[in-house]
This record gives sequence, C-alpha cells and structure tokens, in this order.
Amino acid sequence: MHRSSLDLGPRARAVFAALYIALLVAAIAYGQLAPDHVFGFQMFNESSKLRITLFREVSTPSGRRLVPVVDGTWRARDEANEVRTFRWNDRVRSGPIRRLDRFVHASYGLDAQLFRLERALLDVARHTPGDRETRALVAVVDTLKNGRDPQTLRIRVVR
Amino acid sequence: MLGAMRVGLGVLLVIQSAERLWEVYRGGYFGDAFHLPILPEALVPSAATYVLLQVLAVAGGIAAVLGPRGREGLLVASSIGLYLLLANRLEYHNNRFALFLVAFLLAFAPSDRSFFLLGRPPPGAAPSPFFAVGLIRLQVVAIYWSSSLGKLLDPDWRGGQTMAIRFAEGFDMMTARGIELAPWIGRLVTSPAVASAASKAAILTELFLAVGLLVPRTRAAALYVGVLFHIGIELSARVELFSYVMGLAYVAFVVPETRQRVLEVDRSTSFGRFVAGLTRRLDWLCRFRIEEGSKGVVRVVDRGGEAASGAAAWVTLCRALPLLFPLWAPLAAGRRLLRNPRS
Repeated sequence: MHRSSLDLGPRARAVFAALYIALLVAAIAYGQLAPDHVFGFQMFNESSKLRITLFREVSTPSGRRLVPVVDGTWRARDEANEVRTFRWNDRVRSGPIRRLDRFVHASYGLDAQLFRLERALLDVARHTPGDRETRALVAVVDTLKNGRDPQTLRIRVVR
Repeated sequence: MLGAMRVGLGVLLVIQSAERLWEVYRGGYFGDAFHLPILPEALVPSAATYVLLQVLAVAGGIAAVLGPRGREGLLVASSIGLYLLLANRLEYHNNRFALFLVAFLLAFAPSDRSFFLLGRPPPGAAPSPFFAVGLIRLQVVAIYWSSSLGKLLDPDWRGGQTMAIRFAEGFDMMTARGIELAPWIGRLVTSPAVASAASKAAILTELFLAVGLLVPRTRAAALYVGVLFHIGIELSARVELFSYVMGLAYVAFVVPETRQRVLEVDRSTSFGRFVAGLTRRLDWLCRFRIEEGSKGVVRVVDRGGEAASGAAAWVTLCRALPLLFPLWAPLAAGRRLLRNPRS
C-alpha cells in the first residue's frame, strides 16, 4: 500500500490531534481576550465607526499647543534646521486607521481599531526621527459604537 | 471526495498568495511600514524572504491543484500562511486563518487518491481518512461555536442594534447606487423589530450549524442551511474567500464513499445523454456509477439500495451533486407537497 510521509501512525495521530485541539482552543481563547480578536473567529462583531483627527503637540514660546495635521501631512524642521515633509500614510498603509478626518467602518470592532491606532501612533513617533519640532502625536477619535451616541476620546503618544 | 477538496483549497491558496504578492507590487512590503507582529520582530521575514515564501505558497497551491505532491503542497502553503499571519496581525482575517487551518489538516488526510490533473494517483488503498477529516469537522464546528457565542454574549448583537446599523447602511448604499426601493421596504428593513429578529435568526443559525453538523441525523439539513447561510453572506458582505473555504470544508462532512450510488439512464435518448453528461460533470465527490437503464427512464439507486425514478430521482441527484445541492430542499419539499397535498 502506498504511504505518504504525511500518513501518520496511530500514536502520532493521537499526539497530533491532542496538540491541534489544544492549540485551537488556546488560539480561540486568545482571540476572545485580544482587543482585535485575532484568531477568535468573531465575524461581523460590530457595526461601529470611528473618525481620527490627528494633531501634533509642539512647543511654542507661550507653551505647548496642538497643531492639526491636514490631509495626513505635516512639515517640520529636522536637526539641520531643514524643513521636511512627513506623511501619516508613509507608515500607516492598511486598515481603517490609514484614513484620517472622516468616519470609517471599524472592522473587527472599535477596540481593535483603537488598539491598532495606539500602536500606529507609537510606530509613527518612532519612525519620524527627522521631526525635531513635534513633542507628541495626539489622535482625537470620534466613535459611534453600533450607532449609539457619539463619544470622543484622545490618544497621546509622546515622542 | 477529498481530492476535490484538495484541488479547491489549492486554488484558494494560489489566489490568496497571489493577492499578497500583488499587494507587495502595488504598495510595498508590509515590514517597511507599520505592522504588528505576534512573533518577536527578529522572526518577521525580510522583504525578499516574504516574496520567496509567498512564491513558495503559490507553488504549493499549484501542486495541490495538479495532484502530484499535492498534500505536501497544502502543508507548505498553509504553514507559510499561518507563519505570515503571526508575522503581522494586521494581515489577520478570519477567512484566511480558516483557509490555512483546513488546508493544513487536509495535508494529513489521504486526499492524493483522485483528481490528478497531472500524472496518476498512487496505487493501493488509501488509509482511513477519519483522523484528519474528523479534525476538519471539529475545526468547522469550532468556527461556528466561537462566532455564535461571541454574538450571543454581546447585548448589542443579541438585541439587534448591530444588525440594525448594518441594514440601514445597506439600504443607504443601495439608494446611493440609484437602486430605488419602495419606502415601506426601507421602513421594514430598518425597523428595530426586523433587526432584532434577524440577529436572533443569525445566532440561532450558527448555533444550529455548530450542533447540527456533528449529529448524523441533522447533518444533511445543517449542510443545507449552511450553504444558504454562506450564499447569503457572500451576496451581502465582502468576506474575501470565506464562503468558498467553508463550502470546501463542508466536504469533510460528506459520507466517505465512492461510486456507491447508481444512476441508470437510457443513452439512446437525448434526455438520457443529457442527464448522464450533467451528472458526470457535476459529480465532483464521485458519488455515482452511471449505467445503462430501461428505455426512457432515469432511475437512481441510493447507497442503501433504494431506487427512485422521476422527480424522486432528481431529489436524490440534487442531494448528491454539490452544485445542485441548493435545489435539494425545495425539490424535496415540492415533491412531498405534491404527493400529500393535505399535509
């Protein structure tokens, strides 16, 4: 009889099945707890929306102030005092959080997108070393959870 | 039976990896921008390695489609897919995860005994498919359990709030596209009562699938409900390959038999030749032996030896041929109504 190396013997099958079921249960449990429900098989879990408005916190002689980021682009001076252009989408290219200033569907739910947004802000802060002026990135997020009354929250990431 | 599943999953794996390669070509490598690995960053592949892995996954999918080394192809493509999901959770989608898991499990089932587009299947009897097929069944049921319980425990889902927004958005989208519906349809579709009923129906459907697929007595009905459920999802939402993955995974619930049913046709008539040709083309799960029958009669002998002709034969054919399966329940119900008009 033809045997493939992938035809497991009885003992290997038992071990394989036990391992697979354990990993599957662990993955699904992780998915229930993770903010983005990764591995959790949570289909169509919300009909929520969010709108991200991005600001830069800069120092001025009169103190710190928020400067709006228009069209996801800002200009700031670097160490050599040269003006450089930075773009949100140079780093954030996928998912709803790549879009600023308009309501978008929060796929996988609001928690998923807020989790990703916070990480994205950290990523952008880390990957714009040439920006000498911006002290922090601030996202003001308007949320509509399953059509309920809007709420606003703010995520601030210091550079 | 499993050979058809191998070919189908191979096609989906090729499509999936080709799409990821197209994304690299269009938008660049994910590692050069914001990404979120579950693995340590050091284990995230470089751009060149990523492209190489996706090319290997395409090759694995092609091997699964062609036949020779198809199981190894499934294993390679699905393992690469799972690894790359761990390398960037932003790439995670339920349908991709389900595809990789089902393909991974099928690699350990004897799916290399039929449907070879190149070469011939290896000789000899196949080992029992139950081990890996049982795990695929469990995997499918786990998806429905997880999805339905998540919805059931969420008051917004249970109460219809989530569905109401979805319906309203769907209605607005149709209006924006110039599709005019009568105002009363709009009021009905967006009413809280309808959304609440639809939510409960969706949760109950998934719960029924989670249980019904495992119970032999309800399995055929659960498969039927599942097929309609996924056709509905496919038509109303963008779910990438999910409907196709689940449709192929349903093959694991089919009784593992080959050509134990007989279709008898009269090939001297054009109708007989049409039925024989249709069955030969659509019998992807190799259910039927086609034999010469009595003059002008189409007759089907089922696995248990029960013979049926006329409308009953078509009911049996529709139940066993995947593409005609959606017609099975209405045909069976229509036949029963016509036979017992008072019932």
